[in-house]
Amino acid sequence: MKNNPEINRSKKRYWKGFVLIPIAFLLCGYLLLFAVLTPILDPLVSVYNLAFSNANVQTITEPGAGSIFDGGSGLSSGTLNCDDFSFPKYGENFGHITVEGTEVDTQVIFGDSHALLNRGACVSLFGHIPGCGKGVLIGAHYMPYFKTLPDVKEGALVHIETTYGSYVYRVYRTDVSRYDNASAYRTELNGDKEILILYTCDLNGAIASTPNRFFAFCEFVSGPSVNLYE
Amino acid sequence: MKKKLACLMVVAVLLVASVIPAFAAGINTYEQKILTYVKTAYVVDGKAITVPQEYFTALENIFAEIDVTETQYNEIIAIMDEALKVCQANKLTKVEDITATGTTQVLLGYARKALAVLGYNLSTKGTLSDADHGLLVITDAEGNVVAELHPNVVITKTGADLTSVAVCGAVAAFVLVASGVSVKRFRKVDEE
Repeated sequence: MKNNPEINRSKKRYWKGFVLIPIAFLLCGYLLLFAVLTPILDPLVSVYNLAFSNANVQTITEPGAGSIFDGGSGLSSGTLNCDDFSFPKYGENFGHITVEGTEVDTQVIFGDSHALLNRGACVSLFGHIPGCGKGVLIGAHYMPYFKTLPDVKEGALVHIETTYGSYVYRVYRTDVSRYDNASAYRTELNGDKEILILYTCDLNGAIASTPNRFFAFCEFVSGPSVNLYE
Repeated sequence: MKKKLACLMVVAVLLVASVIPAFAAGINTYEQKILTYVKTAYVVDGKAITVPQEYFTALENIFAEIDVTETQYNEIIAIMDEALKVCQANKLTKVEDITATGTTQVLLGYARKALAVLGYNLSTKGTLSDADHGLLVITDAEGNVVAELHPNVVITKTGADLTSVAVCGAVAAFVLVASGVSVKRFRKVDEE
């Protein structure tokens, strides 16, 4: 005959062995699955979103009148005053970029948040829009938009069609530098000459995170000039 | 009656016509004055605060989308004068001094007040000193994003984001260690 303390101890063991530990391990198992699968599923989900979500459909239909997708202005010279065109809104797809000698062929978006970078080549707010006669800074993810940008040769032409005009630039220099090395691009970005700076990660075909960026500096060839000041 | 209606319609059309230019793009006189103020008025101990040119470019890009009126301009300048006093009191001469003196939130408060004059809201995401994830977000009254800026870095992250890998790796390691410790404990109790 078992006495009371013994019965209590075996009850305690029963609860611990058959209820608490299995529940704890079930939760740990789920946590482990979550932790292990998230890094694998995250990129797959983002690729799925890029390919099948409404995001791309919206970006194609978003531009309003004068969009390159419904004919565009086709203007390649002259001067545009602020009343002659509508300044792109943040997140708006307002153009298209192609680079000679590479497979770069994607839409141009105003703003460069992480979400916008999933949609195409992004114009930084720290630079100007094409035509202002100053630095234009455009970055894009290596995969898939600017993967072949590092193949660009000096002299290659860069075409940017925007809702307000057609712009052509010529690559005159390429460089690799750390993302936080502002001296690599600040002179061109803040100068009084229209210089287009294209950049992406310098990965050399690998899929990883790198602090190095590949830069292509391009001089202005043609396009209408834009006067933002009233 | 018809005359009154016609008169009312003409007035309505004129009102609409007078409102439309207020939404025209471009940088108007008051916006230019604000830009000049920001570039020249911030002098601490006889030394102008050095702000990289790209920050003024970002401001120009925001001004290109909106139109600041004279009343708004006066209100904004009054707020910026107050912010200037804070800069002078804390001897802020470089952007880096803001974090060093712990005045980030105070100055963000003034920026919020100035943007509120235009009907905009300023919020932050992440730690502002974090180059990858720190973000200043400006939204309009409807919550639409007007601008997002990485205050610490001009070049954004264009490669794979390994943050989730690092976080999940740390969680996996923690769960494994915790499981190991608890199993060892339970065994010890059972043996006793």
